[in-house]
Amino acid sequence: MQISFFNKKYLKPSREVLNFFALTLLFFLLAHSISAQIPHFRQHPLSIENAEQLELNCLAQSPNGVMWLGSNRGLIRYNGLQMQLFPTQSPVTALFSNAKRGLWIGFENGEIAFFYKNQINIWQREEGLPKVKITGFAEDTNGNFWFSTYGEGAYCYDGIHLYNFNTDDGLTGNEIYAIAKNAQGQILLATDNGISFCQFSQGKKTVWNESSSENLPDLIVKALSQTPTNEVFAGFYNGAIGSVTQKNWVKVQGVVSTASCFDKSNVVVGTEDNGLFFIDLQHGRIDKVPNNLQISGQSRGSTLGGIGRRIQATFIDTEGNIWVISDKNKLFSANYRFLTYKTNLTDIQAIATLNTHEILLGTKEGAFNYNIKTGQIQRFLPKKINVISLFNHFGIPFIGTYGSGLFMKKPNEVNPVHFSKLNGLSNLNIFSVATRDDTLWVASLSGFFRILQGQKGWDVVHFNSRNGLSTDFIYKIFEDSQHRIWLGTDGKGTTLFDGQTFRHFNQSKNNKAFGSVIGIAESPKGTIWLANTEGGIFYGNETVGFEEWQTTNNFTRQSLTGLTTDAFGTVIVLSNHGIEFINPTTRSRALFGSELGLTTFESGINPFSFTASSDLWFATSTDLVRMPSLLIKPKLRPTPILRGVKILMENVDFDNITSFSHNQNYITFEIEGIWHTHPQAVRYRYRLDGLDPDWQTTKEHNLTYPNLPAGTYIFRLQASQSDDFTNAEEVTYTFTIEKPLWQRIWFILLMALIFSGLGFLFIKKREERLNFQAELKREKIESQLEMLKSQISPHFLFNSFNTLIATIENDPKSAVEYTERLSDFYRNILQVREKNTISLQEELNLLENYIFLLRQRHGDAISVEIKTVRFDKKIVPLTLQLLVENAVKHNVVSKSRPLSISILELEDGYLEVKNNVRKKLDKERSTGFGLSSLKSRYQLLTPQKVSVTETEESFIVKIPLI
Amino acid sequence: MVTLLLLLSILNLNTAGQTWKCQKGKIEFNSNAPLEVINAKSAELKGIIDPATSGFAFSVKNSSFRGFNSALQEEHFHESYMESHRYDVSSFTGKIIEKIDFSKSGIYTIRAKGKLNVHGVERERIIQSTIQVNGQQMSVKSTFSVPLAEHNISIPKLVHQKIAEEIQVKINADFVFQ
Repeated sequence: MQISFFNKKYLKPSREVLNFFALTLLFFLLAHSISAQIPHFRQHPLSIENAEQLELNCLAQSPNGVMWLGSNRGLIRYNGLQMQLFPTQSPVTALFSNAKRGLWIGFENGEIAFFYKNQINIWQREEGLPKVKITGFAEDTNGNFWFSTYGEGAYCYDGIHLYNFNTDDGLTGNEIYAIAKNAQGQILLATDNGISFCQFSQGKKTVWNESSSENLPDLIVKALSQTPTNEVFAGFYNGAIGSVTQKNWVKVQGVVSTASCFDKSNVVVGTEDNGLFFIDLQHGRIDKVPNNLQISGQSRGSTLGGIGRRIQATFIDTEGNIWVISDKNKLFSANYRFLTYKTNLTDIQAIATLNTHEILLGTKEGAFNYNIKTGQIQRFLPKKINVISLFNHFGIPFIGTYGSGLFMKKPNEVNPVHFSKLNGLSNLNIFSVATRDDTLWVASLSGFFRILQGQKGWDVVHFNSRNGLSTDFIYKIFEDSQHRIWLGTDGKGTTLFDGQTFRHFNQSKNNKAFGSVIGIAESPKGTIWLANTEGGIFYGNETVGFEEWQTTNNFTRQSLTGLTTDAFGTVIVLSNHGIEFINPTTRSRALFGSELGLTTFESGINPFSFTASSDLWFATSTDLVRMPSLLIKPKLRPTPILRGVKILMENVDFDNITSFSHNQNYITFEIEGIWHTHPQAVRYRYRLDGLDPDWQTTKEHNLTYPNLPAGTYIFRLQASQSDDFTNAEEVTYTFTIEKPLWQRIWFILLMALIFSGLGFLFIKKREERLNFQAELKREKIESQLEMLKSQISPHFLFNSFNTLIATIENDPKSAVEYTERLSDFYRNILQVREKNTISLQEELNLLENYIFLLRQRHGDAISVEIKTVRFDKKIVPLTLQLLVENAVKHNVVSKSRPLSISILELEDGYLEVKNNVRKKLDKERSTGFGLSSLKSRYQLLTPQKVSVTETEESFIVKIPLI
Repeated sequence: MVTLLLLLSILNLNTAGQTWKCQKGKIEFNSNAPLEVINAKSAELKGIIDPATSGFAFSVKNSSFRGFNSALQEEHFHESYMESHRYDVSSFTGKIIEKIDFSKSGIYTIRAKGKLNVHGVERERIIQSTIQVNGQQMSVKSTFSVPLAEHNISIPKLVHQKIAEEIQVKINADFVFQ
C-alpha cells in the first residue's frame, strides 16, 4: 500500500467503526471568536524630504500600475519603493487617470493640469478655469469629461467647450463633495442636500435630484464610489453607506469621508473621525479596523498605532490592494484579495461553504460550522469524528470521515443520514464526495460508490478493482460537465468512468507518471486538470491525452494538496509554497506565499470551496482564507516599465529618438516593475537582441551597456514577482547605433561614385591623348610621305644628278663630297622622319647638308643666314628643310636675282624663316601640302601657332620653338 | 432703447435698483480664413450687469457692424450667413459664476455663464472676461470664439476658404453705475 502523501493523522485511526454515539453524550457548543475579516496592512514610508509637513489628499493609478498621490506640496509618483515629488504651487486635491485621457490633476485653487512627458501642464481654457477647489473627476459614457468643484458646482467638457452645472441648473448645491458615474452613464454629484444626477448630450443639460429624506438615509452626501460595474455607492454624514440604486443602507459609526467599492458587496469606508471600516454586504458584516491593528512597516515606538482615525482617501488598485490615506500623511495598503481568518481550530482537513454566511470545517475532532456574520464556531455534528472530506450539494452538506463513513445532513432534519456498512457503504474511509445532480459519488479506500435515493431507501453500488479499477485506494472523485467520473487513485494515475467502462491514464505524453492524483478539476473549455502529491500538474482529456504543465526555473512543489479551477478558467493550486494562480491562456503564474501572513500552507486534500457567489474559500490546517469574487480580475504579474534611456548618462526622449551616432554607444536603461502587493519581490528579465544571446535576470533598476558596437538592437524587459517569467508582459525599445561615417553604406557608395567618376575621367583623358597621338602619328606619316615624295621628286634627283655629272667632270673630288652629302641628307631624312620632334641642332645639321647640295647647283645665287642660339630647343623634323625647299621651289634663283633666306631666332621663342620673293613666272605646280601639314603638326604639339606672312617683298614663316 | 428694454425684461430687473449700464460698447469680430480676412466692428454693443444677482445681458444688432472689405462681403455677411433680416440681434445673457464685490475698485477675472444667441440659435457658453472697476465706472474686456457650426451658420463649400469655421470675437465695453 502506497500512501506516500499521508500525514500521520490519517494513519492513526483504525478502520473500525467507532461508536461515537456512545462517546458523545454531551452536546456542547464550541464558540470561538474569530478575528475580523481585515486584510494584512502595511504602512508606506513617505520617502520625500520634510515628509512631516506633507499632507496627502488623494490617490490615482496609471494603467501601468504607478500610484499617484496628491499632496499639499504637489504630485507624488510612487512605484511602491520610491516616491518622486513634482512640486506644484497649489495643493493637489483631485486626481484622475485612465488609459484614454492619461493623468489629470485638480488643484485647490481651481486649476486643472494634465501630466504629459514627465511634466505637469496646466490646462489652458478660453473659458477660464474654476477659482475654487477641484474635488473630483469623472468620464461619462458620451465621452464627456467632468470635474466637480467645491463652490462652483460641476463642469462638463465635451471636447469643445466647458459647461457649468450649478444651482441655477437645478443642482442641490454648488459645494460638491464627490463625483461618480453610474451604469446609465449619468454623473452623480454629492452635495449637502442630496445627490444630483447630471447628463449632457448634444448641448443639452439634464439635471434631476435625489434629495428627499425618504429616499436617502441622510441628505449630506460626503462620498461616492463606483463599483467595477458602475453601480454607485454613497456615503453619508450620519455614517450610512449603500448603493444608490439598491438603497441597501448600512451604517458605520462616524462621518463618512470616503468609500471604495471592490464590487457591489465589498466596500471600504473611511470616516472623518472614526477610522476605517470593511463592509461585506453579502455576509452582512461591518468590520472596523481595530485601533491596535498590527501593521507591518510601521515605525517602532510610534505612539499612534493602527490606521488612524481621520481617513482622507481610499483607493483600490488593479492588483486588488486597498490604499488608505489617513491622519494627513499616513499611507497604507493591504491586499484585499485574501481575507484571513485566524481560527482556534487545529488540523483543519476539509472545508465546504454552506450558504452565504456559514462555512463548514472538518477537523480530526469533528465538523464545525463557522458563521461569518457572527464570527461564532459551532459543532455541526455532535459526534467526535475525523472529518476528511466535505461537500455541499445544493445546501445539503455531506461529511466524509476517516473510519466513520459518510453523513448527510439535511437542513430541516435533526438527525443526519449516516451511510455505513448497514446501508451498503462497505468502506468507511471517505476521501472525496462529488455530484452534479441526484447521483452521489463517493471515493473510499475500497474503490468508489454510487449512491442514489431509491423508492425503498438508498441504492448503493460499489465499484472496486474487481470491476476494473486499477487500485482500490481512491483519493479524489470528480464529476465533469459531461457527467463522467474522474478518479484520483493511489499511485495509479487517474481513471475515467463513463458509466460503463473504465479508462486508465497513468502518464503524460512526456512519460511523466501521474502517481497519486489528489486534485482533479475542469476548466470552462472542458480541459481536465490533474495534480499529484509530488506537485506535478497535468492537463488534457481522454482523447488528446495529457500534457505536463511545466514551470520554468525548476520551480518544484514538494507537496501539493489541492487543485481547483475558477469560473474564469484560472487554475488554483495549494502547495507548500503557497497559493498559485495559473492562467492557462497566457501561461502566466502568480504565487502568493509569505506575504499573506498565514501560519502554514499545509492542508488536507479537500482545501477549496466556492460559494454560490463565487467567493473562493480555502483552509490550511489552521487558517481560513476568503478570496472575495471581485469583478475586477486582479493582475497576476507586475507591469514592466521602461522609465528612461540615458546615453552617456544624459536622458534622451526615447519615445521619439531611436537612433544614435557611433560614439553615443554608452546606453543605460532605467527600469521599473510595479507590483504593489510585494514591491521588494519584483525582479526583471531583460535581453538586448543583437547582443545578449540569453535572458538576464536582475533586481537592479539601472542597466548599462557600455561601448555597444554599431547595429540595431531591441531591448526587451519583463518583470515578475517570482522566478517565473512565462508569457510575462514585455516592453521593448528598438534602437540603432549608427556606423561611423566611413562605414556607412551611403558614404561608401558616394566614395565609390567619386572614384569611379575620377577613373572615368582618367580613362577619357587617356583616350583623348591616345587619339591625339594617333592623329599626330597620322599627320607625321602623311608629312613623311610628302617629304619623301618631295625629296625623291624627279626634279630634285634629276637636278642633283645633273649637278653631280657636271661636278664629276670638273672636280671629281668635290663630286665625291657631293655624293657623300646627298647620301647623308637622305640618311638624315630617314633617321628623323619617325620622330615627333628633333632638336634644333639636328635640324640645322640636316639643313646644312641640304644647303650644300643646293649651293652646288645654284652657287652664290642662294644665301642662307642662320642666327640661332638655343640649339637644344625642339622642332618638328625637316621644318627648315621644307621651308628652304619651298623658297627655292617658288622663287627664281639666279645670280642677278639671288635668293636670300634668313633663319632668325626671335626673342618670343619663335624661329623666323624669311626669304625675299622673286616669284617664278612658270609656277611649279604646288599642292600647298607641305606648309599646311607643317601647320597641323605644330598644332598638335603646341598651342603656339605657325604664322605665315606674305608681302610683295618677302615671305615670312614663324615657327614656334618647342 | 428698444434693445435695452429687452435686456431689462430678460434680466427681470427691478428698474428702481441701481445697475451697471453700457450704452455704447465696442464689439469686433475677426474671421481669419486662408483666402479672406473679415474684420468688422460695431460700436453699438449694449449691456447691463446687475450686481445684486450677478446677472448680465449683452446685445448687439448685426446691422450695426461696419468695416467690411467690400459691399459684397457685407451683403454676404448679412444675407448668407447671419440672415440679419430674420435674426438681427445677437445676445449673451446669464450670470457671472464668481461672486464679485462691484463696490470695490480693482481688476477681476470673471467667467460669465449664459446663453449665447447668434443666428437665432442659443448655446450655453462660459466666457471669460476681465473687468476693471473704478468707482462708478467699469470696463469689461473679453475675447472668445464662436464656432459657426454651433449656431447653424453653414458655409458653402465653395467659400470655406474665405470664412473661418471659428470666429474670434472681442468685446470692449465701458459701464456706468446708474
